[in-house]
Amino acid sequence: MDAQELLFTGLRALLVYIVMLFVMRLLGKRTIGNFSAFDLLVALMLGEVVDEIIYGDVSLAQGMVAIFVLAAVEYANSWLSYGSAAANRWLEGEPTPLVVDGALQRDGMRKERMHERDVLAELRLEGIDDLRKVKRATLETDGEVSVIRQRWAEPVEKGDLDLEEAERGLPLRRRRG
Amino acid sequence: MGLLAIAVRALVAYGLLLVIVRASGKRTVAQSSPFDLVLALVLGDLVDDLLWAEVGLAQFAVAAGTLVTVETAVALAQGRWTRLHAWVTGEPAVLLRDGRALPDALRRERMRETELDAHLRLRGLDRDRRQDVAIARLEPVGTVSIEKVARANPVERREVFGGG
Repeated sequence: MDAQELLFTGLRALLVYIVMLFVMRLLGKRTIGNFSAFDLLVALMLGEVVDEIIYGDVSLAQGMVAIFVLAAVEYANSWLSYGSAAANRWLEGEPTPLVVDGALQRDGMRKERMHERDVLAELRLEGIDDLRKVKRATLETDGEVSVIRQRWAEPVEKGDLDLEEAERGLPLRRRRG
Repeated sequence: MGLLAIAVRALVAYGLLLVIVRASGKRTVAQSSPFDLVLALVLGDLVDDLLWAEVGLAQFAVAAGTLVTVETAVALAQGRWTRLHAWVTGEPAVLLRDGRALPDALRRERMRETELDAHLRLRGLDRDRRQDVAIARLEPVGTVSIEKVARANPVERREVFGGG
């Protein structure tokens, strides 16, 4: 391993950084941030491709082709699942109800292979100790569980008390500069 | 190749990555953005070639060191120049305002209304409570933040007991 090869390794790493930054920004916030296990897989694939490029195991041209094809397909995928409801169901999946009005939904749980204990754990993570407080718990397409409380189990809101503060509100302050 | 050599390499790689990541600060590899996640994955992938002796220690150190150095430099530069921050990190996109979804913004982010509903559910809000949302933003990290209208915010202790 001579100094020149090390220099090239550094340069390839730099180039890969820039290309990946560009690709990720092009794909947008949704990708990988949220909302489909497959998006995460794409991130893994991109990551796997990239290290061969950095070490020089494949040529730059080969590496770039691989990256851009993966990115292009992912980009097309996001437009397709935006444009058509059917494609969306297919590509992203549908939310599965786990609890409705305090009742465990056995069908949904079986379909997602979730045990009652898994559901209760998810509810505990949301601070809920009693199934009756749950209006709806849903396994969303990104694998997260959303929990909506019954109206009576929600914290008291300003509007409920008719407080003056409610009129004014307290906006988030922005720092200058 | 000897098993002992693999064990030693694993130890060295672990130690080296630990030093690099700790030296670069918490936010690198903190999964604070989709890009950081990919960067963390790449760093992890760099290690396995080292373990199987497909690359030398020096080459691994240069590769990982370069990535983390660039990431740190970009983070520092973003702190200085807001414009650069907007470009590299991205800006929040307002998806919903005063209870109404904004179709143009949704289109730009390629998000269907059903997905917006899912994001609201993840914040504990059912579809019929959209009117309680003043602003919903898709943040650069990929999650949706909610600002409720004042009346839908929780009562604060001072509003009942005074003080504050």
